[in-house]
Amino acid sequence: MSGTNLGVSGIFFALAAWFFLAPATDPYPSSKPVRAITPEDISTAPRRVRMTEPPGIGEGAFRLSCQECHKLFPSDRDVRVRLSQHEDIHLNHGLNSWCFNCHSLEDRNKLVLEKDEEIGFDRVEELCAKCHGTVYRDWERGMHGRTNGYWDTSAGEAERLVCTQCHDPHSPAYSSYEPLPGPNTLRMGEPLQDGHDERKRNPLMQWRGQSGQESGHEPTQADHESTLAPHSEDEE
Amino acid sequence: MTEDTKPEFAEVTHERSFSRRGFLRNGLSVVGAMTACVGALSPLRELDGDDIPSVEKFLQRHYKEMNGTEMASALERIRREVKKRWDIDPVVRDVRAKDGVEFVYALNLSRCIGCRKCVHACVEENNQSRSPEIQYIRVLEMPRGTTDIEKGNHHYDRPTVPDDDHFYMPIQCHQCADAPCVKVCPVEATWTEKDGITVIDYDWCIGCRYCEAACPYWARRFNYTKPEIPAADINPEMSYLSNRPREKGVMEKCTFCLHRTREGKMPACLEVCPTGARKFGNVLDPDSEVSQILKNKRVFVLKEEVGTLPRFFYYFDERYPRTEGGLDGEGETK
Repeated sequence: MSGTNLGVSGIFFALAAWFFLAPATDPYPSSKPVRAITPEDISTAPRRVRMTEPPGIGEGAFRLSCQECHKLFPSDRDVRVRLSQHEDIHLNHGLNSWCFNCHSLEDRNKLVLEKDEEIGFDRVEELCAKCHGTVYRDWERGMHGRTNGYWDTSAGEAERLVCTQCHDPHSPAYSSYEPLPGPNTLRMGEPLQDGHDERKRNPLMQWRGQSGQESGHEPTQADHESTLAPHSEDEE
Repeated sequence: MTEDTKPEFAEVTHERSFSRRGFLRNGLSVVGAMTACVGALSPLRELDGDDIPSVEKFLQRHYKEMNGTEMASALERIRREVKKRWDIDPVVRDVRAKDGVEFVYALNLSRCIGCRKCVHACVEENNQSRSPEIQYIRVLEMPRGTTDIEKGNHHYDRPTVPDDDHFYMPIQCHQCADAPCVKVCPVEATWTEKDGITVIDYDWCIGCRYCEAACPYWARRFNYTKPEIPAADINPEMSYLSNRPREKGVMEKCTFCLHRTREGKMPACLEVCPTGARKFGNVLDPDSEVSQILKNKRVFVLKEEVGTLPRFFYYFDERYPRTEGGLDGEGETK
């Protein structure tokens, strides 16, 4: 009996020692984002600056608009030659590959609608509507494009963005972005730091890595993350 | 063992009701047991004052039962707690729902490029924990040709988005008209307001996580530990039901930024969206953008078959997104 007592008390002492001496554990592993988010990352500013006036060169009183030069060098509507000026403009607008579809032949400070009706740069959405009628109809109803500010116009102003605040008129396809960091829900910390593979510590990662990944995948910087998600590659 | 080898000795010890050896052995056991008890309670050393609710908070009534004075003192208490923890002076308000307003969200999957700006603008606006990370919006990268969200991947990490072979589907709280999370809450700490937003009284939540299990859209988040937010990142414009700081052990979720939207503003995720894929407004106004979308676009809701009647609609209006390198012709495919 006394021996049993001694054994039990030994276990109790061992437990007590373990409770006291065990290092304070972090109950929830850290899952900090891979990088800090800066105010620029989540800026609400439009992607492009709206151009209400025709562009020009020079400043203040010395500013010259397009037409100041172009009136000296009239263009021929029917002769299509490669430009020796404006080489910075790369026209990549599908079938629309002719300057005078949009710009006025007579007054280069103007844009042109059907039947040579000239409009200012501040009415660019009407110009785009010439071809993109369905998108323009959607935009008018607020179904296409950005609306910032207030949904309740009695409380404040709704800011409707126009075509050129998102699309470059010379190359209107929406350009791509570098995505902001994804969720760190598996709490993997920094990927592959100092040659130390974090994946080995996480059984879920090991399982995913063995079962899901197919071969022939180029090792890229996205390699680490794509290991997490075999589905995204499976469907291709 | 002891009885087998020295039975006569054991008997003798037993007959004596009180021996020195017996006293020491029993005493050791008792002391050991007590030490172990104290040791087992030793995690209490890590408790600090913030883990124990103040009497004021403990006695605070449910959001719907509080009168004006009680609400004012609750807001004052939150203000004090924020001041104490982060040393900033927040504006804490109780923003109520308006009549004649029902909020609806519409998201154009043809336009979403998966840049995740909405995710991080939301975290910033709503004072979500940075470590551990809590995010209300989950952007799924989906293979083209299916809307089966089981095939989605939210860990995508590409040099640039969008990827031509995928589309992107952000998921957040759908503010269901028949919300399963509300039905399962055992203490009525969560409910749907008259403008359609499902809210949580963080001071009433017991953290049972039934709602998290009930939600078919994975929209609810649990604070497993004390939320960590750098003081510089705190949004001082706070409201009781939305973005005031949460405690350890309570649920939280997207509230369509009710502190913004109930005052006529757009939610933070929409403001930051670079493509205009996100649309928000009052569905009771027939001219609002969302009403026009519901009338004119082919919208669908996620997991329609579970009957939750979401107020969050998805729609496509083009076959392929128009990205760099893609063809720009109307109706043309690769």
